[in-house]
Amino acid sequence: MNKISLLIVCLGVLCLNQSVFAASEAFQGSIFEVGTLKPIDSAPKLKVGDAAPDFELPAVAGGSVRLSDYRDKRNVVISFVPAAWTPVCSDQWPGYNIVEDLFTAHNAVLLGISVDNIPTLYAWTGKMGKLWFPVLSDFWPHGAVADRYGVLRSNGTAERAIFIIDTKGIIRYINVNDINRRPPLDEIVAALKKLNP
Amino acid sequence: MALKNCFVCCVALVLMLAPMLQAAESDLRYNQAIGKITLTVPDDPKIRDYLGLKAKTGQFGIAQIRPGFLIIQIFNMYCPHCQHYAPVVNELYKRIQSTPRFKDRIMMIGIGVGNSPFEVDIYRKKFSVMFPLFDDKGYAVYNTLQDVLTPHFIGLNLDGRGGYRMVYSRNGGFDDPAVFLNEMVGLSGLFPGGAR
Repeated sequence: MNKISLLIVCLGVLCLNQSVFAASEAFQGSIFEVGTLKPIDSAPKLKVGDAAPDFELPAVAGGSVRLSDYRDKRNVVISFVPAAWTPVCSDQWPGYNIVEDLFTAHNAVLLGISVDNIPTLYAWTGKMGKLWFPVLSDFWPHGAVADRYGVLRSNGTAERAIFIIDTKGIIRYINVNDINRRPPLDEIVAALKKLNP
Repeated sequence: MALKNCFVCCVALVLMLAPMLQAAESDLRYNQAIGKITLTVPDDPKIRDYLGLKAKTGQFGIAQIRPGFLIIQIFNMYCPHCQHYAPVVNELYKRIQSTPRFKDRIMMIGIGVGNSPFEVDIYRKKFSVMFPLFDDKGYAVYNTLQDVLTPHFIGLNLDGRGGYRMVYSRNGGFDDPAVFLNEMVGLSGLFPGGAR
């Protein structure tokens, strides 16, 4: 190999390696970039003061969860997220996972709901560590619960929305958030405080 | 002729080793952005003293922090990796504080990108973080840095006169605080003899 060829080969090796070292964190390598989305893409069907539509959905941990099972026992915070393996969603429930005490202090349970199927949710939430709250699949009939709550987007994903339902089954707080941003935890906690003044 | 061959071989060797050197190097693309970041002056006088801030209210630029070496952790309360590495980062701070020659010359701060003061406070309490944490509720820092991944660590030499030199910037956490501290001390160039 002559000297020029040797230099060209070395330059090639250098260029190839640059892309490798520009790789991001391992977890982030699993996230599908969706770009900036239309903030809200659904029409409200419920308002504060309405009775929360009952539902029963399969849970990632097994079995199913029925909303009405919490009637007269616990307040319920429902967190709809748009889709697994997307940027903001992947950094939402892990935050709730370290504040179980804030929910229990207000006699509340948290239900995470996504329109993804159970295997997808299993793989995705497995990356978040052990979650203390049930993760429910609204996959089939696709997005039926999200639709009844007025948070099913036109592309079949859900809005990034929070509903707080009191022990009587009445909706006390609704936040259909900009899908590109997390709902402020401050507001959720403030709404919970109002349930038990 | 022999000299020429030797030169070509040396150039080839450097090019071949460059990728390996890059692996150890950090990504300094946020160097310019750091100068544009402003944070709210803390209410706590102990934190202001720790950072050498004279102002008691308003905003301050990172380069206004007193001379020495500054480690910035870009974090997010919601990020599982930030949560995972929080105890390791705390251990780093403890090591710095328990080493007399580092205590007053290596500072640490954390910036919670996209986090409100409430969320930053949760992170502080949940993980018993002792070093100053700042919120970035309006995503100003996040937008300035652009597509930073959390956790991200930045190392800056500060001259105390508004000048700074970024010597480290990398996505991801670290497992061994002693190794990380040793690397920061070496990069700072402020401590002959390294971290020992």
